[in-house]
Amino acid sequence: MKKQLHTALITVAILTFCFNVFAATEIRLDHANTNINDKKSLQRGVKLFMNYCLGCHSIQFMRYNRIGKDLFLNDVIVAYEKAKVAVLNNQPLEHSDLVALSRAFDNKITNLNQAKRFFAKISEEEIEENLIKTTDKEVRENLIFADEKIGSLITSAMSVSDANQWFGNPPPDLSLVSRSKGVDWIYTYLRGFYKDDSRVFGVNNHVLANTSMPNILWQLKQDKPSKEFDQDIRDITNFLDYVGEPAKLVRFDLGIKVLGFLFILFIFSYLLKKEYWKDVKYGKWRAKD
Amino acid sequence: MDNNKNWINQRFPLTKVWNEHLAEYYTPRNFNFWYFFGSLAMLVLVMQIVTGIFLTMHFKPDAAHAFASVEYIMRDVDWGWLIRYLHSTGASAFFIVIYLHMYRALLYGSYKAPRELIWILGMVLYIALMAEAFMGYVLPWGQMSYWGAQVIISLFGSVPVFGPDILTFILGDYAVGDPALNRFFSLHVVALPLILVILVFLHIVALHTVGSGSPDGIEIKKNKNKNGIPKDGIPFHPYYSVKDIVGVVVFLMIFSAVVFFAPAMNGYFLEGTNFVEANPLQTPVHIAPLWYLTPFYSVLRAIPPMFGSQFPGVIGMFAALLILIALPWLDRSKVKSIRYRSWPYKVALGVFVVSFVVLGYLGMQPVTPINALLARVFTITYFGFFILMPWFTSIGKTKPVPTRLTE
Repeated sequence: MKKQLHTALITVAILTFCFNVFAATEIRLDHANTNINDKKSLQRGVKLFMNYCLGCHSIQFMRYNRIGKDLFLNDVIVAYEKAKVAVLNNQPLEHSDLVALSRAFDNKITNLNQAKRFFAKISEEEIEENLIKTTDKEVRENLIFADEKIGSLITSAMSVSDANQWFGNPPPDLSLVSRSKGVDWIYTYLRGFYKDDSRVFGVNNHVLANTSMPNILWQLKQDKPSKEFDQDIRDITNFLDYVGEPAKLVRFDLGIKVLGFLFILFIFSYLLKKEYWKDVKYGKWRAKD
Repeated sequence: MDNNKNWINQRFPLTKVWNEHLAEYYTPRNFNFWYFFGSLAMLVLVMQIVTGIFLTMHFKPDAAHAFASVEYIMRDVDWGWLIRYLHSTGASAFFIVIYLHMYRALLYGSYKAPRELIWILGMVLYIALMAEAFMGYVLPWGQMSYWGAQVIISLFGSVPVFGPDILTFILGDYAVGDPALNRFFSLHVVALPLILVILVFLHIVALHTVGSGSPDGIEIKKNKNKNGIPKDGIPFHPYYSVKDIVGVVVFLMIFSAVVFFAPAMNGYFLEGTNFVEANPLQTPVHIAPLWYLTPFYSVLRAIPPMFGSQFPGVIGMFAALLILIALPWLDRSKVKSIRYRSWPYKVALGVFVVSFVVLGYLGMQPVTPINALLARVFTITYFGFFILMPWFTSIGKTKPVPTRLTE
């Protein structure tokens, strides 16, 4: 009995020791160094995602037109403003200006006079609507490969039953992977594949051992220097960070405004308090016996 | 104007209430930093109710839709992300404010006679708030919502004999699932907020009956002038109303900084694991409640199972919480404020604060042998603070308490 107890205790001690050792060997993650305000990076990221990831992974909480509005519309508006200035100043129009104006009028514009005629008969509101509409159209043409509506949630065409057969379990939805795992994890994981013939797809991963995902990005990696490949991965990671929380694009700027307002409010509220408390310090509420 | 006022006053004691609780409610003139947190707690309560109303408009209390509906709020509802962050940050802010409010009571002996009932009502409020926060955390139906609920609710299952039946009664099922989500939603948005609001009302009525304490532990009502106004008192309104506004603005600055720049607070306010939808077939590697419940969770884990049952740990956990109620009767000291207390109390209070913080930290960490040992040591010092209190509050030399406020 006593001996059994001893063995049990020793086993427990060894097990706890092992757990500690395992806990200590945490995977070191590389810094993703993403910048959510880098629109160009996000634009490259969404293209890479649609080409390489969406085949298997959905981002089911994200909508196509939201991506258009958040990542592309601003560029479209800037290009339009530039073209508008050119038209008003009677400057020669570049090709990019003609494209921008064609979007604004939702009509093919080929020369300055044509543009002027449109400006005379179209309102700013209509132009704004057209810019959104044409951006949506371009998103539909360039980013939507399946037969989906512009307001649809972004789901993968792969069916769950197929996925189960092909990979053992369905590839996870990636809407919130940046929030549950973090950007560093995604960045390191996607760069962490290595050759391992014992696995079904011939690769394994440093970050997620025995992952059932094949190294889908091998082709991307093959034809370019590793620095460029790292940038590609950073763009995808950045895009997934945005997908995890689209509000991230606006909340920092709004936060600065809110804090600025509160700071001014603080000054006034403090002066008000000081004014009232003169009564307590020197006036009618001064302690006297 | 006066006519309107009279018309109302004949039908409702408007002027009387205004005077009794604000314009002629006399408070010590030397309230310091620690006295901001009562009004801030009210502010946070109101904010939680208002943001909660808007969240309820879009949230779906259904195990199949809850997780997606929260993401819908975060993305497709106008300003939904802001409302949700205000609510989730508000939950943690509520506990920070309440813990500082309670610490004020420990510093200045606010719980001592004649304020025992205020303290008890406050403790019941605190426990109701914990239940409210716990049930709110289940609603987004993430992995931590699910497994946290599974762990906490299973505590009731450890009750001898009746445990399993109690468990089924609470969950409406044999495991956490849709019925539990539905009833937690109901309790979170109707029952508990009602209880909280009523308790806050009673807490304030009791406070205004005895009057506010002071950092000196002096009763200002003992020194009145010939008009019956406390010599060291000033009317709450306008003096403390304008002062509390400054406190509110400073609080909102810190609060907004979190909401806009770090709403997840590095996993302390919103855990990463909770961004994965609840999956009953996949237990997370490490389950921990949110930070405000972890001191008690630590006590639970520190007490080893006895006779093959986790029940002693559960008793310990609830005892750690409920023992606070006995504080007014455990404290035998003649003085209230830390300013005039004997040194043994100051040392004991320091040890207590360290114990509470360390237990809170350990409750978030995975159990390792060293962590388990530390949790046990600090569980003992935590309970030691209360058990030894009648002794250490009656020894040592206290400083003489002045008859009037010192500032």
